[in-house]
Amino acid sequence: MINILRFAASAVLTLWLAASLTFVALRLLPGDAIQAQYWEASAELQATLRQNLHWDEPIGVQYARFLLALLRGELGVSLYTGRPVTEILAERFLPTTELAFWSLSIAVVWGILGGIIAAIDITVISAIFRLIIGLAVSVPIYWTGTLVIFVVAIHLGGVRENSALPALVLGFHTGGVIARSVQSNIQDIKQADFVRTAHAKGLFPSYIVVQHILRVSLLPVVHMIALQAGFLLSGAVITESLFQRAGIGLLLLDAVQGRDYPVVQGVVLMIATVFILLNRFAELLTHQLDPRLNS
Amino acid sequence: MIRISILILICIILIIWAAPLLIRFDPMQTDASNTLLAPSPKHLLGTDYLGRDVLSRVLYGGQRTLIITSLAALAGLIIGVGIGLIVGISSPLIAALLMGVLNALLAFPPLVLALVTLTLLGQSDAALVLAVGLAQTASVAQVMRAGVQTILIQDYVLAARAQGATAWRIIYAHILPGIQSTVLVYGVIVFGYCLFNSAALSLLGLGSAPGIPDWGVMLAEGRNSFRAAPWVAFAPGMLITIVILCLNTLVDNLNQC
Repeated sequence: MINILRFAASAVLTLWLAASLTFVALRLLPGDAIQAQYWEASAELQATLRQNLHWDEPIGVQYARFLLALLRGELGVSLYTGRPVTEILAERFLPTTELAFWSLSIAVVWGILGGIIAAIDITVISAIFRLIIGLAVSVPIYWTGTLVIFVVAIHLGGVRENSALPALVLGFHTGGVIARSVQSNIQDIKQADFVRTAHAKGLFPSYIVVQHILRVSLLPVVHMIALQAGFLLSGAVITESLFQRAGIGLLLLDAVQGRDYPVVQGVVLMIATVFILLNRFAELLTHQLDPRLNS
Repeated sequence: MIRISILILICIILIIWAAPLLIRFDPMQTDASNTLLAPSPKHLLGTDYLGRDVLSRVLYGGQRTLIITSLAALAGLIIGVGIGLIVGISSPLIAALLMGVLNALLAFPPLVLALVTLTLLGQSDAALVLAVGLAQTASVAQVMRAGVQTILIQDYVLAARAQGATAWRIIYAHILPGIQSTVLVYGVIVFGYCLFNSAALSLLGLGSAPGIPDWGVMLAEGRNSFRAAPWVAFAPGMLITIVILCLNTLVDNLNQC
């Protein structure tokens, strides 16, 4: 219970800091959005627009207003369409969540299995898996995506909407990172004294792998998986752009290109929130699973 | 493996910078009658949708990509090491505050941070360098702080303090030499990330002005004509992949040393 409270407090603190950083970055730094957006408009019109957005008030008042609005779940309106940012986010949330969910599912299954196979020495198969993991970690996702689209275009004439391909590509790369950590964990723990003892006692090798090695080496992987949220979200920006899927990533990209500040701020805050919550949740889970951490 | 990686990297760098001696075509010269030609003895890597020679573009583009990536990695490392040092040696309260900010920064994926920076600074080469570099600073600072702290608790630092050494003296004589190898290994990692991100930003249309060759830009242009002429995207795509693959191999082996 104390743990839960502690993690909740740290999550709220980090969230507040992340929100403040976004506020500072998008409000204080050079590059007046109104001027960039409406450079053709008269000075009076620009002034009115600033007034509507409350950008003529002292910065402290603006900050208070920003935090209050945030607590009410308001993120302002898009400079282009005038629609509330929360509404736009809600609309784009589902496609990206879907993409992230399937990618992560694929990544977890292939990452853990691939990592295990690469680590326990079944000569040729392990070597092949080590090679595949190396490729998954090193080949840029935009290159894999391009190649996949090319191959599919030749054989099937084009990538269908709602196809599983983006999730497969993103899952392959995310899983590579997980697999590499699983692999190195297992290889470290294989050397541990308690494993040698188990071997000396004459325990069955596969029993040692499952009961001794995997139990310990998969624990840090829980946290590792949560950390992949960041990777997954950057990957979503690229994947959604490659496969033209209308999700959060493509929204962010369009907003950046149009310098639509409120939308950029909304997306960035949402990404940070998801990441921080997942991270704290994973820390909590690791503490629950690993009795050593609570003593 | 480590020797092969270094050899490949050196070869790529040499060939890219020897480009003026090796190629016969201006990378910007369009040729409407020779668009999307397949690789041939005349155009070793074919031509793109404007009839420009892909080989000369990929070599000149490599210069640009590698310079931007190096500058970004350098900026990220210098600022990150600086922040790491400050966090490492400052009083617990200030350190905790700075760590809070760093943790908040780490909640944003680097590519997203780079995108926000580009929103603020607009699109230019300098903005691209800063965006890609700044995106790495928080993680560099975190790694460096850990390095600095392990050195600060050593007895020889305590002895230096007891002798009345100033903070600058301790940084210069003890901390910087101590974190050298960490900076080196992490520098290679950061360079890889910067290459990935700078090419990604160019690919997404946020990099350099259109037309100026750059691996990311070429990949974006090549994608549009991929079905008719896969070789246009193939050259930059494979080069980015090979460089990152070599860097990763290097890092894996350096870590084991």
